[in-house]
Amino acid sequence: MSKKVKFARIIIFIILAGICIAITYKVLSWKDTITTYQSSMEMLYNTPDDTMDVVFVGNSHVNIGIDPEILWRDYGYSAFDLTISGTDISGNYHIIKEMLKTQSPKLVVVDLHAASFDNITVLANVYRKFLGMRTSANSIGMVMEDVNILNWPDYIFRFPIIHTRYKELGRYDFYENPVNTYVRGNILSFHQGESYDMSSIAANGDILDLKDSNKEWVDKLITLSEENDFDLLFIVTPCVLTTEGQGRIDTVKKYGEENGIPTIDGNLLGQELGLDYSTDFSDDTHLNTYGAEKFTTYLGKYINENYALENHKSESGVANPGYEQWDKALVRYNNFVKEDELLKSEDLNAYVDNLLELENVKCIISLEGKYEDSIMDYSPALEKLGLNLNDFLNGGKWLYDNGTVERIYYNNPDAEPYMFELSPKYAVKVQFTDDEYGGLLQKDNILINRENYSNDGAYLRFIIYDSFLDEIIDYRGF
Amino acid sequence: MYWLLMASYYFYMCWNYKYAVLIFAATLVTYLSGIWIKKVRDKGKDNSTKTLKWLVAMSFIVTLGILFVFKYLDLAIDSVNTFLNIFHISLISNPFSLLLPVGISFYTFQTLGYVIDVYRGDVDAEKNFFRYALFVSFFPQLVAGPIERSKNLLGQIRDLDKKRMWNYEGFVSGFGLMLYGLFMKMVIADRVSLFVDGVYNDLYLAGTVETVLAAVGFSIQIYTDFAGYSAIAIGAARMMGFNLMENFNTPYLATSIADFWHRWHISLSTWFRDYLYIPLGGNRKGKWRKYLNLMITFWVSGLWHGAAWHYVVWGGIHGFYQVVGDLLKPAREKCRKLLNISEEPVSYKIGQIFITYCLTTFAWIFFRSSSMLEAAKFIKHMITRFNPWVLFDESLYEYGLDSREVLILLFALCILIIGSLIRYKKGEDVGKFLYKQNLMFRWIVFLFFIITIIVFGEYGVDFSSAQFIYFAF
Repeated sequence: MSKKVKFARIIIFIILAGICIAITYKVLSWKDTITTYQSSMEMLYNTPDDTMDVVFVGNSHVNIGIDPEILWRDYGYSAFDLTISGTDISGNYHIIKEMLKTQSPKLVVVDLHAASFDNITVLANVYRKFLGMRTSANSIGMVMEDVNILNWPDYIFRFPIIHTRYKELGRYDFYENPVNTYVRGNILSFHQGESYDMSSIAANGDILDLKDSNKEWVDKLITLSEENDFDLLFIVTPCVLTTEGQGRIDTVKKYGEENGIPTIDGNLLGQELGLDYSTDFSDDTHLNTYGAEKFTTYLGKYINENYALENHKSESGVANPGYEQWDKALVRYNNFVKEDELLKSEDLNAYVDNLLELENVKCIISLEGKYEDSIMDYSPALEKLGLNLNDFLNGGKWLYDNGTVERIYYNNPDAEPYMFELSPKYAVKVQFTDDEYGGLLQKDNILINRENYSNDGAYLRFIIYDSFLDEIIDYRGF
Repeated sequence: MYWLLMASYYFYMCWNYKYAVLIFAATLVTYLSGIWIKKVRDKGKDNSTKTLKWLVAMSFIVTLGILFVFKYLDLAIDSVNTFLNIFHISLISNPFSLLLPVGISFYTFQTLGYVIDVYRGDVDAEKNFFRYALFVSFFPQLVAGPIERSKNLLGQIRDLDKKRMWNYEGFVSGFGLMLYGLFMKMVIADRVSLFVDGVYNDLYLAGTVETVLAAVGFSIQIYTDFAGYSAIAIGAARMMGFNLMENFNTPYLATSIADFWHRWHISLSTWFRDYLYIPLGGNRKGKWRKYLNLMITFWVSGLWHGAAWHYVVWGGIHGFYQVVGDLLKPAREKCRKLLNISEEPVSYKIGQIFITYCLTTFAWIFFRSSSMLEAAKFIKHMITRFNPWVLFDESLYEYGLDSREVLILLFALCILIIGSLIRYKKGEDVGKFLYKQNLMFRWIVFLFFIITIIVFGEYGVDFSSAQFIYFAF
């Protein structure tokens, strides 16, 4: 064998090994499993170049408290939430640098919450910060700035941290969560937390000196803005802060104002925003989608009045080419708002009314067991869906699809199972195996991808599938 | 050569740069001894034998002195204090508080072997200090062996300037062997250690099943850890064109304890054979002297493995096995004939392998335990707490390995068995075997090892991956 062949073999093997390792990395790579594999960074990487005009930068406060869809809906502004939950000022700075590789925003809005603390204390947030970004000089620079030199290899090569993810691999480790391909960096949460004591939300902060690290951070942001020709705006997304935290933020606000950077402090705008502390927060430090709508609407108005940004929607309301993601995200947002109403309905009639409001949904309806005594209670709601009493008196399974309903199965133990696909992702098997309760307690009468969606204790069962999200959004029994 | 020497010292200094002084001192002393021995021999005076012996003794005193101070002083002081305590005499304290230098037992033995080889005239004294320094510090085998012989490694280093060492076959087979070693160490040894440590940490509650499984687990752990490291060392050296001696040859397929020691840590057992057992008289001075020599050799071997009495006991058990085995040989032969047991069927050999494995595994209990007391507790629980139901109630998964990890471990053990059978049947290591296979198959196996090690290896932040066990010796 000649030297050339030997050399070529070694090179080819190295390339093959590199490909195998890259594929393995793709599967094992750190993903934000806590938020069902949604990642603002992935959404950034999926966004076409030079399409973002407004970028909101921050941590979970921005991620959940500002909805870019509202700016798109109201003004046609292509906004994006560039966020890493729990991240610090260094994380904020480096994700802006990462974003600037592909985007040329006119306005970067930075949440100051990160200036209220020094170190990330939650390990998951450390991983979010260092492992969410693609490996580049920027991400390596962040590691070298913030991580002990002994731990550099862990965060630069990443495998020492991520390789144990083989224990938790799921569907979206093998292919991308579709949400990441069009959502604009935010998370929608309709959870309404307990009624928190928010009396301290607008408390005066301690009188403090500007920390060197915060000053340096603001200076670096100003340099970035000058180099990349964007305006800077500081915000404080409404949340409860300690007096020390508020004090630290106050020093940054003041320093920002001295350098021509205005601040919108949501904590001082309670009345103007119209926030209801019992309904607009998911917990004491995060707004929910109701609160986010109020705060984002306020920000949208401010931006509209103070910055000359382009409306990227045409007069017909359809996006210019390249901005489809914002349109799609808005459709999802509207769907979510309607679905939230559905999910909150406790009464069958209200539930069905909300179901009828939804677009892009399919619903499997199953009636099993000793439902005869309840049939008159069910009747009005089922009739709204297009079923008639004679039909549902005998029980069975129906498929509701965009306003039409058809029976797909009789509760007959001798009948062959009925199988169909809601989508390539979801395969449904419907059958009837009797028991002393008329099949009510059987756990395999309705299976979706082998998971139990049977009546399982409820005479009337609804399984709602959203074809836009490609997700089962509700499994409800009455 | 100079690059390799610098790389070796850098590698060693990564652990603790100060201890480079020790390896340098041992190198210098034995180098000068070698030169001096050669000079004395060349002059050929009447009293040269006495001078030579004196020179060998001096180099032994210096190098073993370093080893004693850094490794055995604590044990010596503790033992003296135990004795003094009986008579209520005030105890002495250790004037030093020293960390055990990595690999000190390996390189001191390697240097001593060189001095004896020069003394015996088996090798020429090396004149080039840097060449000799590379022989002592050659980084692939510096910290955990194999303990190389001057005839083998020094000879190759001498040839460095004359011929090209690197070759494609060595590179490929060395790479394969390295991967196999990493697989043994990172996927098997460190994974099974989680279970073994779990049982030892919770020994108070452990019963027969847990202790038996922990003993078996440790036999796997120590083998895959040490043989894994040896494979990495041999493979790395082979990739650079050096051939290091084999250190393990399927030891758990040994049919007797003597056979086990022909297969386990071969570089050390042959070192003891050549430089201790034979000089003591070996088997040339009668049966009882042979037994004494065996016991001394194994006691010293135990002490070499660790500065604690339970290591000495472990060595003693192996010596005892051999003495008793030899004494009972006529009785065993008689029994065999009486019961009409043939040596021919494979089942007889399997039985021998099984018995040998059980004996070595029992001895490992003393090796793994942190003290004689812990070993006694372990054996007591093994005998007195018969609890077969834990095999079925899933409580074993609470000792550090859940069901998924157990499956990974079992799969990895299947690969280990295949690797062992290749060595046993074909007489060649996995690297050389793979080199002879078709390119596609070889690459698939290489890639499999790479990905398996990356994914299932025990390393990184979620694991405080155990150090290579033999680094402490």
